[in-house]
Amino acid sequence: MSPNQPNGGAAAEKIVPTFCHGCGSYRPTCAVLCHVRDGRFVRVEGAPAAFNAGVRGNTALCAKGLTGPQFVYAADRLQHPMKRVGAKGEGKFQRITWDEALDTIAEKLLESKEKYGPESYAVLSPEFWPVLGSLGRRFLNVHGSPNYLHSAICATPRMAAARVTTGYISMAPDDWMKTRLIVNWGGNVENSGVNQGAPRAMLNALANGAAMVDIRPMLDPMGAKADVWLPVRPGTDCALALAFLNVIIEERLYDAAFVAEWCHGFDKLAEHVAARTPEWAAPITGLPAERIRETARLMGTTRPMFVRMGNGIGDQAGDGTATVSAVCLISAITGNLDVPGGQFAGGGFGGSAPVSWLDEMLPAGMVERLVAPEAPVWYQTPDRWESGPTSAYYKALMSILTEKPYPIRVLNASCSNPLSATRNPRRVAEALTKLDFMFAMDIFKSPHLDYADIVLPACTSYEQGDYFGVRPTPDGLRVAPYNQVVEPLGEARSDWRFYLDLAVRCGYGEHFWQGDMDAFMGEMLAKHGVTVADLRENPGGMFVRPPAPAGAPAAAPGPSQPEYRKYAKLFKDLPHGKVQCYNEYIGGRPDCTGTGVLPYLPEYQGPPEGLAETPALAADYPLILSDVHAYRLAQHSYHHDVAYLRELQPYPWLRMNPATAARYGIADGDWVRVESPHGWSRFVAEYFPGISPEVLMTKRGWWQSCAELGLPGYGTGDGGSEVNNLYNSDERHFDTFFSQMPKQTLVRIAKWEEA
Amino acid sequence: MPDTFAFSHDSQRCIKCFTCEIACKQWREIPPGTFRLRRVYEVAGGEFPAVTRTFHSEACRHCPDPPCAAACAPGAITRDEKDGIVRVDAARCDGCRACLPACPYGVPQFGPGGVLQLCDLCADRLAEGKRPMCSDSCPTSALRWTGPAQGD
Repeated sequence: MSPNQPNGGAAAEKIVPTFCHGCGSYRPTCAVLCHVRDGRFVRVEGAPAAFNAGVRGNTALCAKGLTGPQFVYAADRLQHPMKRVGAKGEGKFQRITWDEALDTIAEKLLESKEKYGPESYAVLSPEFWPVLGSLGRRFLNVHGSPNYLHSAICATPRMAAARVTTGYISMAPDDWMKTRLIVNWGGNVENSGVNQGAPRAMLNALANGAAMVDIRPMLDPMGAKADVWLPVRPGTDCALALAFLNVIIEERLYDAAFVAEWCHGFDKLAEHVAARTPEWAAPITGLPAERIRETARLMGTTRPMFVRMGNGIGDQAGDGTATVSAVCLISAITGNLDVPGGQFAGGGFGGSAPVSWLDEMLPAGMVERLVAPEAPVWYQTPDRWESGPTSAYYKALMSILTEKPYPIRVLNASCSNPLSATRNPRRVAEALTKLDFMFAMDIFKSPHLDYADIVLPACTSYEQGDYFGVRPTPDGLRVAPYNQVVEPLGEARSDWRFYLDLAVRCGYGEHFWQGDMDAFMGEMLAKHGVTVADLRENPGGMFVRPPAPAGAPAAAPGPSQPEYRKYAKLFKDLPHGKVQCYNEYIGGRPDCTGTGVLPYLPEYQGPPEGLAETPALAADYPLILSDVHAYRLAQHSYHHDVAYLRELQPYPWLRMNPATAARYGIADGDWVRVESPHGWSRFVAEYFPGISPEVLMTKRGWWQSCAELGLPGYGTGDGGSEVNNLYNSDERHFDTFFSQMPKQTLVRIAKWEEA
Repeated sequence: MPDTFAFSHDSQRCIKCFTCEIACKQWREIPPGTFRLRRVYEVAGGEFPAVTRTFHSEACRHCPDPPCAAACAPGAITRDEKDGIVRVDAARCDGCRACLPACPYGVPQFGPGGVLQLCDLCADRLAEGKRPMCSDSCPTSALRWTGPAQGD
């Protein structure tokens, strides 16, 4: 068909409803209608009946979601189980059967358990992934290992810092139309979950007259609409937060009544931040003192205020816990907690598990045996964890090399590329090489698979029907299945199937429904009052009312008003039942390394290398480098093989101010050698006026090639294009509460020309 | 139908997410690396830190009196008086690109053989009572379609 002719084949297309894969495997956020022609997935549109983003009739999707077909048919898909036949890292594999692959993995798991104990097995966690959050955790417990290796990135460190300070973290106000000031602090809303509602809600609030402060190093699209843009130097947000507290307290802009009734240790906090003036913060943050003061006044006097903390702060800084705590304290003392339009506490922590994790099967003492506790062991109790105990991803990988306190021996490295997902890919490669056994199930040929003993092909969400999505809507609870759009490519299988099969081979079948997928699905569905048969009969989804708890009275009809200012309940787990301005929840207690104690007050630490922090080093490395956590044309380090997305960002970009580029004789589009004290990588200069001349920003993960456009992938070591190759990975710079790793360093740059 | 349909784009609601651009491409199955019928772009101004960025999404506006048609010597571009859609007759287009400078919005794009390619408002969707794919896909409702298939 000519591309410019109307598609005549519509009538011949089969339309299959399912969920989008754009934000990851089995993350049923946006429902889609997939069009299949001649057995091939050809195009996709939003499903209007599904209340996507909570909006009735919504047909919107996002750039990633609309590339579903190209994602499925990308040339770098894994299609068959393989075993390694060359040296580790060499990339030589031989095709084997699923049976051989599963038998080998089960045998190695049991052998290692027998020889070294169950904790010798660890699993890498990608972004939150229902497979690992249900079957994967259950498998760990049944096997007996606590070692779920969580990234120390993303929401959990932020949630923990908020939990110990104000008892909860607010992801949205109860009603954006009531918010008068939005502070978007490191929130990457144009780049992450674009169709999940936040951009739409924030734009509606702005149209409704709300003011907005955007605090990010780059003038991103939402920042371009803000009243105030504070281009903070990467990694210095904590200093900015302390200076805001200084002004708000010094100028008595806080809510004195709330502070008197609900804040513990306010005087100690006031004393602590007395010297943290805007003048103190200015040379650290790169922001003019007056600008900091004016913004603090705006935040102190505009109510209700909603501060949206994103991945840009708190989870990738060595003082991330202090940063989030300080920001939570700003919201608290200004009286913005749990008020209409403010930091609303509507939900609780964590979700309910799709199926039991069987925590009781984890042998006693195993939390203490975590190879590298992500948070202090004392903090890792069932009431606080998301799915169970966690070790920190990077630190746990390093245990393989240091053998302290013991080495991980068998690693499940599925759907997460550790050469790009964490720091120091060279050391990570050494660690993977030293493992006794590594297996990985992935959709794509990630470079870390070269170190695996067994590689398994995972199918995309469009090739299986083993899960479902649940969404509360005005019409009831919508429960809808994943439906198989097309047959799996090659021998690709669903991750759910894999876990059930592996468990049976390990002799754990009695805890895994004897491998019966429908029985497993049935257990997950039961709490919604739905059966597998119901689901299969309603491929386009069904609306059910959630079953009322036993003995509960029937809900009153009509809209209900949320309850506000539930402080006694919200602060009930905090010492004295109050906000921890002086933190007795964590202060004086052991840190996550087990070698020190945690502080009582939020203190600025800053990046391990910075213009203000390490001036001597800055003489040789005069520019700051950091990277965005998410980008709208990729999902973490995946999706660069998708042609429609790759053509919009063909090369590993490095955003730089044109003035900086001119200083180094770098033209827009030139390759640039970027060297930090820890390594060198190369990127392509992209002129961008909305960034400080002293800062460079890129994104991680450029390992995928795009065969359709003839564009290569780039390596993760020196001379490649991986930003994680450039950061300081000395664990002494990591956050001592939740193991957050800094992602800011100093670099020098020069135009790079191929030798 | 003439004069009863239009795309409207609100820059204030646009976050440059590229959804509309890709929505169009994938619905029309346009080969990657070739041309775009809709394109997202920005106009930036000022110097750090006083920088402005404004975002736009542009496709054929199906002008009532299309200047591209007036500039097309072979007469390949015509506006259908019945439905108001500006179309290209691929057989007549000689690839001379005279339409490009004639268009005030810089829209014309050229496909295989240098033939002009234009948005057809997703004729297949309109026929089914749906809206064009680009506006239907916009996550922030920055790009809107008003027309007979509007539906709301």
